[in-house]
Amino acid sequence: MNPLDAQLDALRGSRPPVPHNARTLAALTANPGCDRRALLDAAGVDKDALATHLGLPRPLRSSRLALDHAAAFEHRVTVHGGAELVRLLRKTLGLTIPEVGYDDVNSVGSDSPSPLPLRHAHTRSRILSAAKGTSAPRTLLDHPVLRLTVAGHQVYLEPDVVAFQHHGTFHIVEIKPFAVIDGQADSAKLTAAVTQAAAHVLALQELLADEDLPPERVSDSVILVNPLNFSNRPIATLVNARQKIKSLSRLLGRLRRLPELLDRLPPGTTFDLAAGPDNTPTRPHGELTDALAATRPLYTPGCRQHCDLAFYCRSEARNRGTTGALGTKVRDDTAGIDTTATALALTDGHLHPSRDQADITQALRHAHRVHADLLAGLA
Amino acid sequence: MSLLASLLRMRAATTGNAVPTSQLRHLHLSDRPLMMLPLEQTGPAARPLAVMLGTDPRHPQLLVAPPSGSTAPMLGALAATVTAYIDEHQQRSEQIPAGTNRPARRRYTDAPQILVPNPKTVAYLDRLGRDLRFRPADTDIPAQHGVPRLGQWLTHFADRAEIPGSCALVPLTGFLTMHWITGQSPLEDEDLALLLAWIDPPRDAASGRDAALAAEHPDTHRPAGPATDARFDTEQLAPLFEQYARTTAQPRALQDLERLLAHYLQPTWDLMWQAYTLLHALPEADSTARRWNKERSVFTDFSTYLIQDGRPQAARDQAVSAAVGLARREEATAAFDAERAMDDPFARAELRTAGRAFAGTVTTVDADRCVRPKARRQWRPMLTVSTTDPVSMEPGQLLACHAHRNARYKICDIAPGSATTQVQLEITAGMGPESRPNYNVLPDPGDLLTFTAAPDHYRLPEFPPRNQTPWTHGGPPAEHPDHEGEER
Ligand code: SF4
Repeated sequence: MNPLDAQLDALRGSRPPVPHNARTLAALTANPGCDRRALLDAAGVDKDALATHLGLPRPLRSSRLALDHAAAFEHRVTVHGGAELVRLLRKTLGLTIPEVGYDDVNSVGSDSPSPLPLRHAHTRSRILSAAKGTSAPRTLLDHPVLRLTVAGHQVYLEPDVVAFQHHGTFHIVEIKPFAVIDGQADSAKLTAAVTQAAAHVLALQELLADEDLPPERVSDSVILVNPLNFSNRPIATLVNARQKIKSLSRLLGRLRRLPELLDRLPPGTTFDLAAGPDNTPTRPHGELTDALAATRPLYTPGCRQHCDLAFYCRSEARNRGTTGALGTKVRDDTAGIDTTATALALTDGHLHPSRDQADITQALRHAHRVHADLLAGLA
Repeated sequence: MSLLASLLRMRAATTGNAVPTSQLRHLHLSDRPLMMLPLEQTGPAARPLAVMLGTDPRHPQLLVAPPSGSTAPMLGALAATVTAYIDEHQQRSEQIPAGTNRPARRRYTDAPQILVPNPKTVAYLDRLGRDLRFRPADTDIPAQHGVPRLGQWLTHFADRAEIPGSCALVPLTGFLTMHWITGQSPLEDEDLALLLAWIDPPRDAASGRDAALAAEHPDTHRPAGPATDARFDTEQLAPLFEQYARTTAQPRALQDLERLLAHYLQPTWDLMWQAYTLLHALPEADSTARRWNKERSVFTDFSTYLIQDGRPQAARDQAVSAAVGLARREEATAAFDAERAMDDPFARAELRTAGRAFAGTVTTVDADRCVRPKARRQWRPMLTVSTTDPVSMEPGQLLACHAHRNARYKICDIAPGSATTQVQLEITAGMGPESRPNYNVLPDPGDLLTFTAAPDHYRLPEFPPRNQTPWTHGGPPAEHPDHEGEER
């Protein structure tokens, strides 16, 4: 085990790691500046379990109904050897081959306790033989397993489908249950889907590059399959993911400074929940909050949409009076000032502004005078 | 949002209590609004789960859709209620004399107003309207005749909600935040329960902040829709849905579902009326009535359109209709901003912190000044205003002033001093005709006035006449046959 892994294992403690997946990588891009999250995710800490143990609301709990709906839609698209999917991809990618091969990797290694490496090996050999043209190419790989290096770690990623055009390029296909209505989808969901697809593109590029095959053979346009309008009939849309792929790979580059972040932690820092015999966590809350306090958060109200720790970080940010807890507008309006207490002390003249705070202080004092005029019924 | 708003948000966060901002209501509030609280089923696009609605706070109507199968009976009932409410407002009309660009016409004396909890519900009604307006009218079942028409009305209301200053369909969170600033983030303000906890905390709460923390408790907090929360889905709805799927237990499951949803929605329903009461207590701004007239005209026009043409609004904004929509929105924004600046001291205060206005004392008035740019002498009084506000505007800028709405002032000179800035202004409009000069426009030395940047003269660009734009050519595009073979 390399020293980095050992450090991360110690940080996580006795629980098995919660590996990164495309969703958590996508969430990282939503708040790339947060060291706390970068560390916890790299160590595979179960943030949901942590939040639950600390008695916090769980913002990211998933809805059974949403999961059922997603599964039903995916089933509809991939059932009967992917008949529906093949029809859609023929149209979108102009696949001309009359016979389209369909390979479901889901069943590979299903009786093994850890099927991911097996499924990955299977995926890898299928993709390589398709790329090298050594065998009749499998045109569709359902539930393949790819591997991406994240902060020196190998993480397994599971795209919905990889499609291969004969003598052509690979395409990542994502099957998503949110509707496209008159050509438009919910923008938050769309962004998340494309970011996840970007992670899969990077993983597939890594696979090809490892074999000295040109990574450009993975298309940076991804295919989203969604329900059309108010029906449950699927449509496929080719979406340009180039920007997302770029920003995700930049973010992964940043994660390489993980050792630096780890070194800054006090020795012995761990998020171990110390599960008792019946598996319930026994770790005193104070120790966990001390460990959290050793990591640097970057809280914004938007955290609630993508991070299990949002409620913890929010109360921390509120207690510290961090301006960002009040939203990006307040944070930007008081750029260069960290807390509301400082901003108000500067406004009320209890503090003297430093040189780079002079302009904003003047503006805040003016705003204060304007409000005083208003309350006095002047002007 | 202005710097003033940011400052007040920080103050509220520090004291734990919301800060009142504008104390004048800029949107008309009906005496009989239709409160509407819809829930969307998690999963299928726009499929309704339930709607609580009505005009009487004590007797809401609850409509519940079955977990699977046809929603048409429920939507038929919804259409009946909404249509009856709209009909009430089409009973009386008044004669409007011809104006400069419109012939004489009739206008309904009242108009419907739908209040919903939050902006997401507005977006949901838009989607639902998009779904329903293209449904084929089911001629066999009279109770469902109104469904496509309901879709047209919902689309109309959702379109109006995009126009600043329109009060046809208003999200209550947005309405409340026009008048109060809380110590939480704008994102959290979109939660009606949290917002109201800050603004109007229960009497036993120590502060708005404490009330908001209590209101957030997962055991009692109800999101105001249209989405249900994951815990409710998993723990309450999913088992009932399963029960429903076992055909023998359907009626029981539906009854249980109704009871469950009534219980789930009731707290938010009460909050919506609490919000209404707070807003109703605010006095109307001067221009609110004028905007209400406009709203009634729009309502009358759309009612006429439905009778005379009645094709559903187009599925997607086409180039021309998108441009028309954008231009209308810009025009409405400019007009709304300008009117608020004239009506409301808080709006002016915000503009001062944004560098779009300054306030000061009139120091000198040259009442007799005349200029002679052409053959005729023109009366152009001058005044000097001394202000401590930073003046970031340039000479030549045209200003308006709340004291004389029709007057315009041109900045001639700005002379910054150590503590105050002297601004020289020429009055360029509002002096009346030469024969009957309006001396009222002249301020007195010592008057305290706020000057705001005058609204740009906004002219709606020319578009092809309405009957020649694709806007009226409704109907789903040929490649989108929505409802054929649909399984829902
Ligand atoms: S909630 Fe906390 S840990 Fe999560 S991204 Fe935000 S600041 Fe970082």
